Order: sequence, then structure tokens, then C-alpha cells
Amino acid sequence: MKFNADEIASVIQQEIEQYESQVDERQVGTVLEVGDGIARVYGLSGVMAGEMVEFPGGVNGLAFNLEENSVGIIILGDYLKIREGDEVRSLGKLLSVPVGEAVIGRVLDPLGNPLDGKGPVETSERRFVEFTAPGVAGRQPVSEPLQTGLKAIDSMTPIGRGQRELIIGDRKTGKTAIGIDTILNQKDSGVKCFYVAIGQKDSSVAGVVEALREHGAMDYTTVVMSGASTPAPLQYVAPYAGTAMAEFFMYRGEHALIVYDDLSKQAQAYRQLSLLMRRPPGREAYPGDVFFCHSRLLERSAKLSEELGGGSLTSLPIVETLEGEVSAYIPTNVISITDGQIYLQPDLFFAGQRPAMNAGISVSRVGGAAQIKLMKSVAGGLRLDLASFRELEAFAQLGTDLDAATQARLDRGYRMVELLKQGQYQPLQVIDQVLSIYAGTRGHLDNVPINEVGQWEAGFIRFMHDQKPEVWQQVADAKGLDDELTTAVDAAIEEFHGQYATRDDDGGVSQSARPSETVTRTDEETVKA
Amino acid sequence: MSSTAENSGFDIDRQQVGKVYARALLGATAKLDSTGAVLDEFQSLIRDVLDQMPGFDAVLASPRVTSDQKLAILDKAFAGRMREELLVFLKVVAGKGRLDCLRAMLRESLRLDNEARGVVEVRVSTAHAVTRDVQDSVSAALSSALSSEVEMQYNVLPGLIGGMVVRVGDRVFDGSVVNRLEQLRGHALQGTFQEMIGTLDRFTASEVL
Repeated sequence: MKFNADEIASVIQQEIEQYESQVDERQVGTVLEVGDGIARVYGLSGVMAGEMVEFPGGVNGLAFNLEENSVGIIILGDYLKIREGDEVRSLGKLLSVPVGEAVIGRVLDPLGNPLDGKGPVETSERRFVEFTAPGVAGRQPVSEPLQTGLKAIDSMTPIGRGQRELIIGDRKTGKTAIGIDTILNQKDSGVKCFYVAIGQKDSSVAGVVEALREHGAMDYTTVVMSGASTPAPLQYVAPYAGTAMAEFFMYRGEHALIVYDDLSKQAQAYRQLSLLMRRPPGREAYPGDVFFCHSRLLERSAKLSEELGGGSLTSLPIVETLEGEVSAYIPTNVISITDGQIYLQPDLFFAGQRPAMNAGISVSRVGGAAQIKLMKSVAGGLRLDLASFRELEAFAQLGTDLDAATQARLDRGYRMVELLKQGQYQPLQVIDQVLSIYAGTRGHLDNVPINEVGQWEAGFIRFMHDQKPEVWQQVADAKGLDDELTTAVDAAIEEFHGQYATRDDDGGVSQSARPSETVTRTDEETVKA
Repeated sequence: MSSTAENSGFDIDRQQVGKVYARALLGATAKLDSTGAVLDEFQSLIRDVLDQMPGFDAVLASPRVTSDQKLAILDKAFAGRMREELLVFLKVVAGKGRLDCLRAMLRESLRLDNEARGVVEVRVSTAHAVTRDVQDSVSAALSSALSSEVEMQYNVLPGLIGGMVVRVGDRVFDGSVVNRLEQLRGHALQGTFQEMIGTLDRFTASEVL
């Protein structure tokens, strides 16, 4: 790339010639104390809550606390350069971030500055970081599904566009994996994705970005990043900034998905700020308005009315629990705000059931409206069946003799559990999900050994794509489950059974279908037989 | 523009205490119609006595000296040399153990007195010392612009290069050369940046793709 020095010089000269000097009027205050990402300022008597201020050296801040004699400022940037006695000026505007197509595919900090070394974000459009959520009249009920590509979720706790579905669980239970898989599954669906990393290790976020890039998801995804080493004010602002970027697409009539990973870290950053600002601590030392902090954020996810363009913003907030304690302050708050939760359990995770979703206590309050008809008719009773299977399984462990009917239900249950397992970065198309769940719930897997269910399923999906594309298409076009469709699918399954029985043991149908499955499968083979 | 040195030691809590005592002092002197004289003496006490004799200041502020002892010292030092109202005020302050806040009390008294008289404090900073004539014309202009009496304070900040910075309360009107240059720099940078992005598109279209 070449720049012509003369050309640039002439541009600068033009700018100088056109420049009209005016007396600069500003409102100022003086820094009294500074530290830990906050500053107390004397003066600024006309500043408003949430207004931006500027410190010498161009560091910005937000008026956070308006007290009788001073103003508490949260500093968005390097607070180490600010000294006592520095002049602070109010800017008379609110915090905003760049939005638009230009942010797609980028890794940005919460102020919209690039972190990926790909040059400046070239957009002139900006949106306020804090923005009022659309009102009642501006919304409509959630009706379109947002496919996560995960069988367990799409069948039992379906998510709709505009819904807020909480992903909650202990550390290392696969919370982020669900968010990432959902983003991967939005490929070619036109949904713009935003991943907001709050208070995480920079290395884990780098891993997530790499995974997204590897699977081609960075073409429609923006990562907003404020790592564990970022000052608390930026961690606090990050989810709002990400939402502002996502909202741009929602108000344009498009669809967007945002994953907040995770809100418990944001609550901790907010707690830190509030305590430093001497706001009174409440339960678990969180400030009184930590609920509002999350509710005003999550309320911005919506399905807009047709008059407003019908766009949507779906959010997947993640909350980390300690030792499965869902009745802690932040988990209960966010559970009550969201439209359902996916609860991940460590014991399921270590038993090889991944995603480690506990179907009994995971819900989606939007329910069937967010599911395609076919999935609804295929997976309708799945949740209850699984719950009753869990009960039965506990009972069967007592070692009593079981009658044939009970044993059959148990066997079906084991196979369904096996069928709902899914490897990471392998989201499935919804029609494929319907087919495999249909095979499981209708008993077509009853004669397949439990440890071969995964193999069978992969082979079957491959078979449907390769050898029965017309049946696959028929399922995709179907409005509901009718006799004609069931006959066609049943026949296809029978045909595959025949092929599966005669496969060669070293590979054959299924091994080649899922080459990357080996790791997860070895885990899963340890499951109770 | 405020300098760091001037603000160091500024304490909001003391300021708050100072405000309470200042209101009391002004209330007491208003009845006797001696506000101006008392404030003059108060200013002189700080400037000519406490600032000159840091040891004395420290004794008055120290909590190790009991208030009885402080009262005795005040009597010995100032009885007959100071207006009665001010001495009584100092004794009350000593009795309450607040002699460490005297400077804040003076600052607040002056401010409240100005407020009551409708006088606006204006601080004017220039790069070079200004002549009397200029001062008069500035003061007249500001007085008519603010439509009230003004109390001017001038200080010299060579860093301004030229022009003038006027501060009224928390409002700053900055017509200094350094500020104009800074604005011009930002303006030119922004314009050039936009222009370069346009140029960049031209280059990327032909060379990179």
C-alpha cells in the first residue's frame, strides 16, 4: 500500500484552511482521588448521571455517582495516567460504540476499539451503549425458532428468536460450548452473532475466536472482549456495548444472537465498582440495583413488531454457579428475568452425557411456539419420558427384578440418553435432528446395542443424505407428521438397519461419517451398560 | 485552569464542615453588620499568622492539646488585638475541636459572602501578565456579560502560549492558543483520517484484492 505524502499534506492543509476557531466552552471539575478504575471529582456541578467526561490525555469516564460534594466517575481506560488535581471536563454526551456491518468479523473491546490488529472499524454509525428496551407495543410474541443445532436443546427446550434463554451450571460443564455451537449453527441462516466475553482468561477467549474462525463462523460473528485483566468498568460496560452492536441489526429488521459469557463476572465487576463508590452493599455484598443491571440488559432482547421491522435479538446469558447452588443471588435474579434456563450438571458431564443438560429442570417458557411442527410432534413427550426414565433408573439400581415392560422402558431410555449426546462443534440440521429423534422415540433403536447408538445415528443421517435425499426432502417439506411421511421414514430406517447389520466392523457406514467423534465416544462408552 | 499544587490538600469532608461554620459566622456577623471587617481579619489571620507560623497552626490543629489549653492560647494571643466576634468564633471552633478546618471555613465564608452580595468569582488565566487597562476592560466586559459584579483573579500560565482562559464556577471559556491548536489538531486528524480511508478503498480495490 502506498500513500502519497504530498496528497496527505494537501488534505491537512485544506482542513487547516477550513478550520474556524471558536472559544471552547466546557464544564470542568478537579480530580480529588483516583484508583481501582474510579475517580472522585470535585466540581462538574452540572454533570448528569451516565454522562461522559474526559480526563487529560483523552481517557474517558462515565459519571456514575452524583453526590452532594463530589462526583464518582468510572474510568474507561488507563486510569494510571490520571493524577490528583487533573482537570476533568464533561462532554455532554453519552457513551456510544461503532455499529454496522463493519463490526462483523471483528474482535473489539467494549468501547469498539479493535483488538484483532485488522485496522480501524470503518463505520460512521454509532449507537448508545445504554438504550431503553422496546416497549410492549413494539414487540410481538416469539414465533420463529432459533435452531441451536443441539438435539437436546432443540427438542426439549426450544429457543425462539427474541427469547432470552439462560445457560447455567458449574464451572467446566460445557456452558460456553453450547453458546459456541449455537453460533456455529447460525451459518447461512442470516442471524448475526455476538459473543461477549466478560472477565474470562484471554487464552480461553483466544481459543473461542480460533474455534469460530476455524469453522467459518467469524464471517457473521463479532467478539466483544473484556478479559480478566481489564479494569472493572470495562467489564461492566461490555454486555451493554455488545447489545448496542446487536440491536443495530434488530432495529434494521434482521435477526441477531448474543451470548453473554458470563453475567456472574459482570455482576462481580459491578459489585467491585459499587463498593469502591461506597454504595451500600446488600445480599452477597452486591449493590441493591444489581437486578436492574441485568434486567435492563436482557429486556433489550426482543422480537420486534412488524411495524418496527420484525427484527429480533435472541440472548443466551451464561451464569456460573458454585457447587450447583442455583439459589444464590445472581442465578435466581437471572433465572427470574430470562424466559427459561438450560441447566448443566457436572455429574452428567462426567458420566459422558454432553451437552450435560438436566432435562428435568431445564425449561423454555416460550415452548412450542419456537419449534417447527415436525419437531413438536416427534419430540413432544420426550422431556417427560426422560424424567420418568430417570426415576425408573434410580429405582432399578436397587437391584430388584424388573418385569419385561419396565425393562423395555429402561432400555429405550438408555438409548434416548445416548442419542441426545452430541460432540462439540457438530451442530445438526433440524431435519437431521427430527429424523434421529424419530428413530429413537419410535423404538427403531431398541435392537441397536447402547454403545453403538452414536455410530448408528451418524450412519443413518449420512444414509438419508446420500441414499434417500428424496425422503429427506419430503421430511423437510412436511407440515406435520402424517401417515405417508411415517411410512416413508420407517421404510428408510428399515433399509438402513439392513445395511447397518451387514457393515464391516472396521469402519463401514458410520466410522467415516463422523471422523472427529472418537474422543467423545470413548467417554460415552463408560456410561452404565 | 487549576494547578495540582493548589488542589492538593483539598478535602471534601473539611469543606463540608467549613460550610456549616461559615454559615454560622456569617449569620452572627450579619446581625452586627460587621461581615466585611470580620472576613478581612479572618483572611489576615490565615495569611499573616497561620501561614507564617506553621508551628502555631500545628498546635491549634493538634488533638493532643486540650481545648482548654487552646482557649487559653487564643485568649493570650488575640484578646484585644482581634474583633470580639472573630475571637468568640475561634473559641467556639476550638471548643468543638475543629481548628484544623479554619482554612476551609474561610474559603466557604468568602464564597457564601460573595454569593449573598451577588458577586461572581472569575479566574482569568493568561500566558503573560496583563496590564491594568486590559484587566479593567476584561472585568467590565465580564461584568456586563454575566450581568453581575465580578471579583477577578488573574494568574499567569505560560503554557497557554496566548489568548485567555476564563473560569466562572465550573464553567471554563477557553480561548487560549494551546486549546485552539489542540482542536485544530483533532480536526485535521479526523479529516485526514476520513480522506485516507477513502484513499484506502481505492488502493484495496486495485492492489490487495
